[in-house]
Formats: sequence, C-alpha cells, structure tokens
Amino acid sequence: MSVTKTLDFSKCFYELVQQNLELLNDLDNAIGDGDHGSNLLKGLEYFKVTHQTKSYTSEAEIWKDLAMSFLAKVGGASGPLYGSAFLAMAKVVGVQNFGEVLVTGSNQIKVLGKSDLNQKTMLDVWIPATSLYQAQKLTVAKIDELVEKTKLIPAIKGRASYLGERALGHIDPGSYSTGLMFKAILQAGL
Amino acid sequence: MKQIINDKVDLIQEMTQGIEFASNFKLKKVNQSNILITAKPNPTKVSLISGGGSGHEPSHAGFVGDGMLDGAVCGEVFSSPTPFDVFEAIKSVNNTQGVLLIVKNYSGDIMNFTMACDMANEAGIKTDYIVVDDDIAVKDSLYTQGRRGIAGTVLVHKVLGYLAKQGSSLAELKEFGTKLIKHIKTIGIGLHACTLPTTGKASFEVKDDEIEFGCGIHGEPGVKVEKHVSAKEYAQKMLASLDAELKFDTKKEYILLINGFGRTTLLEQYIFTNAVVSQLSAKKIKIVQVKVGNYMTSLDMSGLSLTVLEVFDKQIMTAITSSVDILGNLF
Repeated sequence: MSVTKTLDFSKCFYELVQQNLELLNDLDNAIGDGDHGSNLLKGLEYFKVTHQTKSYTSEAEIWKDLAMSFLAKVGGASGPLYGSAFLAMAKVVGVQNFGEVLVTGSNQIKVLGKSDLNQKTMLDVWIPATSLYQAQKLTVAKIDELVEKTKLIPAIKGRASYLGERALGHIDPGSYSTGLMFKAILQAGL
Repeated sequence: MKQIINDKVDLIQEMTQGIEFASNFKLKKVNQSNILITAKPNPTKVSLISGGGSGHEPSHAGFVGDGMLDGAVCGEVFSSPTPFDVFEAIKSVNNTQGVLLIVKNYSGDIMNFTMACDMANEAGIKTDYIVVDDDIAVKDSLYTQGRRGIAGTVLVHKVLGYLAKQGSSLAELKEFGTKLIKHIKTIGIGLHACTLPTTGKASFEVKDDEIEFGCGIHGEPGVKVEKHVSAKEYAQKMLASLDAELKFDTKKEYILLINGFGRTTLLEQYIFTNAVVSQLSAKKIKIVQVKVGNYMTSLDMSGLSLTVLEVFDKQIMTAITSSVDILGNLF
C-alpha cells in the first residue's frame, strides 16, 4: 500500500534527521547559521505528533500534511522550500509515477528559490538523485557521492553565497538533508 | 558558554513575553505567537510590519510603537518566521489602509514574507513589501543572492514610520521606501563570533590578531579576513568601501548610523564614531545626524557596522528626528 509506504517514508526521514541532527547543524554552522537540522526536526516532529495517528486514505493527504508541517513550523529557507515542494507533490502524487512526482518537487524548488543545478543548494542532490531513481539506479552509495560532490560547488544561492570562495570545501547542508530524504525514500520502498 | 536561559525550545516565547512586560504593555503579544504589535493601533494609517529571525534585538520588536512599526514577527534565532506567522501578524494590524512588510534580503525571509503577502492579498488585505539590501560587502549581480539587509533597515523603519503617520498611502510608502533603500549603504566588521544559544557553539573561529571584514548579522564569517587594526584605521577602511559605493559629495548631506553587534562596548562605539566623523569632516563631508548604539545586533558578536544614508529628500531629516514611542531610547 502506498499510504503505508508514504507513512514509512515520513518515519524514516524523521529518524534520519534525528540521527544526523548534530551533523546537519554543524554543516550549517560552517556556511550558514547552524540550525538546519533543528529546524527540519521541528517540522517532522510536528507531523509525527499531530498526524501519525490519523488514518489516511490517500498518499496525497500525507504529502499535504507534511507540507503544512514544514510551512507552519520550520521557517528559515528550508521550511518554505521543502513545504512548497511537498505541496506541489501532493497535487500530482497518485496521478504521476513517483519519479515524475519528484521532478514536480524539484521544479517547485527551482521556482521558489530562483535557483538551479550547480549553485550549492538542495537541487544538487534532488535533481540527479531523481534521475537515478527514474533509471532505478539510486543507491545509498550514490546519494552519498552526490552529497559529497557539493563540496566542490561554489555557493551561488542561499546564505553560503555571502562567503564567496570560502564556502568551497564544505558540504551544503540542504543537499545533505535532501540526501537523507532520498535515503528515506529508498528505505520505505517508495 | 554561560547563558541566562531556560529550556532552549522556549527561547523565543519567553523572550517575546519578556518584551511585552518590558514595554509595560505598550506592546501586545498576539495570542500564543511570537508576534508583538502596538497596543494602541492607529486605524487611519498604513500599518508597517518587519521581522525575521531573532538574535538581533532590539530589532525588530524594539522599534514597534507610535511613529515607527506597528508589528514585529520574531522567528527562531537567525531563522525567518513562517508564512503563517507573518500572515497572522498582517491580520492583527490590518485596517482599511493596507499593510507594508519591510523585509531584509535573505532567501528565507523573502520566501516566507512573500508567501504571507500572497496569502493576505488573497484574503482581501491590501499588502505589499519592500526588500532592504544595504550591505555593500556582498556583490550585487544577477548571479548571486544579491546584497543582505542589515543595520540600515532600522533607518527604513524610522523614515517610513514617520511617512505612514503623516498619511502616506501604501503605494507611496512602497515607492519612497524603494528609493530610500538605494541611498542606504552599510559595511560591518566582526572581531569575535557569536554564540548560538541553540548549540552553545561559536559561529566561526577568528584568530586573536585578525578580524572578519564585511560580515553580516547572522554570525557568518565576513567576505575576507584582515589584520586587527586601530579604530582610526577601521574608520578609514570602512569609509573607503562606502565611498566606492556612494561617492561622498561635499554638496550633499549624510546621516550616520554606528551599530554595535552586541558585545562591543559603547566606549568603543563612541571612539569609532569620533574617528569616522573626524575623517569625514576633514574632507568637508556634511554629516547632519549621527546615531550610535546597539540597533541591530548579532547575539553576542563583537564588532560593529557603519551605515551611511544620503539625504536625497528634505523629509528624511524630519523623519529621522521625529519623536517616537518605542521600547528603547534609540530614536
């Protein structure tokens, strides 16, 4: 059942963020303001507490509630970016196949963040990981590789962009959390 | 790091509650949110809202009151509040005149505030926004995020606060505000990083004899590391950066804002002020108003920023010197 798998996904994503909380905050501390993990966890915790006991009949409802949790509780840049991506995905999930749903999500991030590939943002994992997913070649190792590669990208968008070349050599925290999201997708078998 | 706090989860709730008490209820906390609005709203004028992440106190709640802002939305430390928070603030100050949001140029703030602006307009509340980007440390180009909004933002609050009270319409405030922002330039230096209360860690490392030149207000490092020098030399360097942008002109008039980042003493701020004003006077640059103090801090960061506002319109001086009823005595 896709409803079960989607709920599993939210649970896995929550657990992965919780396990990597300190690391996400540290990555953000290096080139941002040091709260990326704590902020994401707030949204995922809110979803867990208020919604996991609800009985869902469609995946779309789950994605919508996830979106609202991010929009209402996370703030910063990651709240609206993940939130509006999940909201856009809620509108097409069940209609499109899940690979296309992920593309819909990244397109929403491009529009809202006025960003694209190679700007040291979550898109640097989201877009290539989606392609690999669609080709059924996405693995944990591949995700790690994509995340690691963001070290080499100069920051064009987001708070790290104010650091200019000094952001080189650092993993983008948004890419890292998007990597966790894709790992959760794999774990849940979405 | 020792800090006077309780549970980290309740930082901002407790702070906004404290601000309500400190204002002797001239400010009102909206329901259970981290929104502070003026307790005596003026229904005949456009309402002004600002906000963003916390950690910049007294910005922005400290500038809410008669003659300045009508409301401030406080996010978590250095994180923009959500669109729902901002929309709630808009609803709570709305009257028939409309609402103007004064937003600092950060991707998070832009996304959350513009979403809230859309939500308000959809709900039939006439709402618009302006974006402050006074920090000259960052290059402005199509290929970057653009410049950050820092201490110069409080001058926007003051000038637009005055004009709103005088009865300017939402469209007029947006137009004047947009023009005003182009004439405000700021540059900052950081001597020590700030300590994030959520993690208890310093936001960056800086050597004893070095400083971060061109740093923002979120504990991020600056654009380059430089040697630590004297107040006179800092004034010289910062004025040179500002001159490259503004082209100081002996025929024009300027307003200065010297802003401490949190840990820098007023003694140092006044020494720096003396250096800046002396150097400008020697070049016959006319300074018509000087403001010094902690206007927009970065937690406990040490360092300061220098803002220059070119007086391009007569109303600006009247606005800057007009009396207001706000929490501190900074204006």
